[in-house]
Amino acid sequence: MQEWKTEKLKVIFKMELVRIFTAGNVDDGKSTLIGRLLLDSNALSTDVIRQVTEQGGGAPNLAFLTDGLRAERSMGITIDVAYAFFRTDRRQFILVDTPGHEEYTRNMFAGASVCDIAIVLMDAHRGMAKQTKKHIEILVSLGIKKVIFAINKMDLVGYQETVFLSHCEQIKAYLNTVSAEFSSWFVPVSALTGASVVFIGESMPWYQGETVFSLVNGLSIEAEGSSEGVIEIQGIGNQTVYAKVLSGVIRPQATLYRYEESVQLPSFFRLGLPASEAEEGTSIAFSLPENLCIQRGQRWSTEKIFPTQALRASLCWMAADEPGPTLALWLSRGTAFHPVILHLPSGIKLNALSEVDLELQEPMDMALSIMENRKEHFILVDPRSNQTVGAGTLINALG
Amino acid sequence: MLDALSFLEAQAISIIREAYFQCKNPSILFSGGKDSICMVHLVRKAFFPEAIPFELLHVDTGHNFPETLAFRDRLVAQLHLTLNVQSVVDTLAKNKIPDATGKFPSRNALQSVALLEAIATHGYDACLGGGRRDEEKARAKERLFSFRDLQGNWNPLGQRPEPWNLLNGHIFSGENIRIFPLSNWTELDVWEYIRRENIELPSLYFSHSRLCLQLPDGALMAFNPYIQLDSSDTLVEKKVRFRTIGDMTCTAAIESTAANVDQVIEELKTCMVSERGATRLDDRISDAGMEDRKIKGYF
Ligand SMILES: Nc1nc2c(ncn2[C@@H]2O[C@H](COP(=O)(O)OP(=O)(O)O)[C@@H](O)[C@H]2O)c(=O)[nH]1
Repeated sequence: MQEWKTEKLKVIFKMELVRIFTAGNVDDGKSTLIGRLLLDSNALSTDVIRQVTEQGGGAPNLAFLTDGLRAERSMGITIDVAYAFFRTDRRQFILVDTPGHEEYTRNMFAGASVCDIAIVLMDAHRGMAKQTKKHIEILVSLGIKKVIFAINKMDLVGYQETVFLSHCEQIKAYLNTVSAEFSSWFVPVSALTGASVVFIGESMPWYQGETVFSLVNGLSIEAEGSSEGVIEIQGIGNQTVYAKVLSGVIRPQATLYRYEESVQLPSFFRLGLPASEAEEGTSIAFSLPENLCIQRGQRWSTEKIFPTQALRASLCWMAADEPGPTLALWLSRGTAFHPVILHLPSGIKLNALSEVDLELQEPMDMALSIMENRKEHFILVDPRSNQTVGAGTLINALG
Repeated sequence: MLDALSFLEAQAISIIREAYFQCKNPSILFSGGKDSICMVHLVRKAFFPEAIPFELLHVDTGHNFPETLAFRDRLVAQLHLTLNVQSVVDTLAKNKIPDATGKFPSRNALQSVALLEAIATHGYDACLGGGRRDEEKARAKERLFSFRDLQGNWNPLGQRPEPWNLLNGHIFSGENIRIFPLSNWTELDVWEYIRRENIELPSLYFSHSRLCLQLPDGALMAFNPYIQLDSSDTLVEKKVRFRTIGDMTCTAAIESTAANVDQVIEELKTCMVSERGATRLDDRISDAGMEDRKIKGYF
């Protein structure tokens, strides 16, 4: 079997992967917008276009494009995340479509959690719905950085600028009340006619801004990561430590710290190859250092790792049955599962967002910069059922 | 920032490592197709410089292309892997389940019985598969860690949420997890990865001359001993390649002159759209859609 070698790797044009998430109330036009995006950005083949055009009696019927989704909904099985994949000349998109129904909010939360950009749809004809507000609240809680508000069905309100502006004001006012920190863009669109989705069109001469497509294809998704290099130990092989870079950049020979200890990192393999550096998201492997107790779940940092036991977190509760006020659970941030006592506010229900206190049985490793960047995410698992019953972000170490 | 392909690779390696460190005895479901070949490559990279810590499991329908089996055995020998073959025919005989019949006697649907038997025999608590969300609707619903109950059943309604791709591999004894490290890859990503990493594939994936049975709608099936020929059937010699490799009774070939990886990628880029449009939107309607279309030669 041939070995893979660095010099064999062909340098091909570097595509960016962008994950987009669509939110909005049922019937505000999510399926139609997705269909329009795919159609007008040439992501659909001629045979599919012909098919939907026949269906629509001359003009493409975009609802038909997503009929599959719809059929599932009525069958009660699209309570879950759906994915679409498409490309432009510089980006590869994973489009995550999630159900608008309230009872499936936890799936929406999970689907949105990994996205770079969210598109929130709103019906210009009807205004902001309860579910639109809930979705905005979740985006805030998830710390999504970029949100495009697509004010849809502009054709139903005569493409009037005043209607668009008043909706924008209403949304902005709401964003203030929930202390949203993301950057937002507002685009008046008609998913049905295609205005401002991919092409700017002629129906709204007063709008000369970006289209939904030019935004998702153009917005920078470069994360403003911290410079602190942090790794988490995934596990130990026979003589090898396997770790993942959580933030910053890690280089061989770097000195890494944990509590009062330090170690000089030996040379390592990054994604299976010898490397001079490893960046966030990549996995590394190096030989087990002597005289050091390395364990799964430990963190090592170029700056400082400290132990914590009491934490405050924003949490989305994901279990159906109403829990008691204190629960013994496991907490995981990606590798080890830590026993934890969770204190819940009374009357918490499925899909509720709240702030909670967590008390760990044993100290857990923390890097301050990760928490300050709101990237200290976790899931909670109930040992009685093995189910994932909650997820959230650690916001404060209390000691 | 990582480019798209490296991002997908890093994500897959992370998932593979969690599979190993969270589960007791995971195995790799190996079909001999490009996705499982890529997965073996990723597993190697995940644990390099140490050896692959998983066994390979091949659920053998008995209808394999000879090229697939030869490739499989060569890979296993070169990487010193342990391969367990679970024969569908043996499982059917043992459990007195009737074999597939008809013109195209596909044992695809019967594979799951054999898989469950293999899982029980070898005590696997997790199986890594090469499934991708862009393949078909049912796959698109799978979690990265997809849970199976004591009967091997999947409950799409009760799946564990995986926010930030945080994985929960806790199960009770007898339960099982299917793990899909390539979930977010598309067919084109797989090919671009094969090119970047210089991964060897069975020759079936590249253009070659082959005697085919041409179905009334134009679809081409490789002429093979398992298909029943009728007097009205026409056999034609064509330049073809396979886009997926599975049971010979239900895997159609496509006409193609793409003889190497670069040419396959070019070919996919021009017809990729068609695959995407159709699989993305139509496959959601029924679980059988993808399979139906494969039989019809849809690629
Ligand atoms: N007039 C008009 N109707 C629209 C527009 N976008 C969507 N619709 C219609 O609104 C209805 C609901 O749209 P759909 O895309 O299914 O909404 P979803 O539930 O959010 O996916 C359908 O009848 C669409 O044809 C638009 O821009 N203008």
